Amino acid sequence: MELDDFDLKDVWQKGNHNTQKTIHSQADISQMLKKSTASTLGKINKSIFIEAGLMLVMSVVVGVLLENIILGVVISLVSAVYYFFKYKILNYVPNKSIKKTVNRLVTIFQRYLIAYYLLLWGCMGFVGSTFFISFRKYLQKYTDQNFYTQIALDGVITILIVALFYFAGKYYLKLLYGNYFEELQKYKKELDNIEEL
Amino acid sequence: MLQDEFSKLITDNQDIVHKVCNVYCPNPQDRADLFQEIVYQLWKSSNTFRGDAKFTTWMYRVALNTAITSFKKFKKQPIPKEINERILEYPEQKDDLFDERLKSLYEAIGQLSDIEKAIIMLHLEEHTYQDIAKVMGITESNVGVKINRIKKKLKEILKRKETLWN
Repeated sequence: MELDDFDLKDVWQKGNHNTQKTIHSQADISQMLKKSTASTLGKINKSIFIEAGLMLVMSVVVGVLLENIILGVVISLVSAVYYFFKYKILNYVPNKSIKKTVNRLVTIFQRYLIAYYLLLWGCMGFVGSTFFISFRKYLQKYTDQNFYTQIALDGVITILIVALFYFAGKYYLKLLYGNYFEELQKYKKELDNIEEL
Repeated sequence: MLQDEFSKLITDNQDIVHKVCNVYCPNPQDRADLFQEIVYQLWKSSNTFRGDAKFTTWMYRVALNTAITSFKKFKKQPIPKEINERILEYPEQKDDLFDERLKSLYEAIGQLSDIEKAIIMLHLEEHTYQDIAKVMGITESNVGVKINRIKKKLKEILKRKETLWN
């Protein structure tokens, strides 16, 4: 079999002259640059700023409603960190070596995930406890539960709330990034393995 | 760098971007999206080009980085293993054997990991081990070892269509 290096390179180099492609003029490229700046990333960044603004408003509302300024400040700080890393992931300019880019993105993503789960747990704590207190009041008012039944019900409600937030959180992450993080980790491992050859 | 100056450089070297798109995206629509994204990332990175490397090597670095780490591709449908027939086009002369060889080579490369695709592509484009090491961020000595392993892998895949290469 004449499948040596020469054959592969020969086929590759001759073939690339013939592969299908749209030759872009300089005007096309310039137009592409203007369009890109205005559309894709512009839209993403706009949505990040809107989301971050809404979170800030929400944290103020939560702080005021619960008369707890510290909680409001903590939520706004965590969401600021979350949106900072989200912005960094989506605006990362990949101009270093591939290994450096992958390592950097993995680090940014890990930090993003920490902020994401902190925010998720915070929301879970807030929504969960509000729901929990109301539900308990309702039970106490309309039913005559004994102590053990109440404990069991509390347990079931807690498990349901945690499960709901856990799966909703995972689903939202998948919706936003697919399996991006897993793939980045796979690349990182593969590049590290090359160095161990 | 001025936008006009930059777009001229990209226009002159757009073949590089097309090659990267062909290797990483079998689907024509994805290829067009990736092309645009690479051009945009090149523009955003243009101030980092210091002239210590060849412009084409720098272009490969940004283009491959974008193709590998772009988060958009992970949200798309799974990539089919079969290479799209429309990736190949022979306007001047039609050579069925060459057509089949090229198609099988693209298919074989398509079965490699994204990292392996980048390494073999740079190798097939006649880049030196030193350049490949810089683009990938690995040591030069490991580039050689890795290339040999990838070539072995490619040959294994291509062996299934042995008649094409005899």
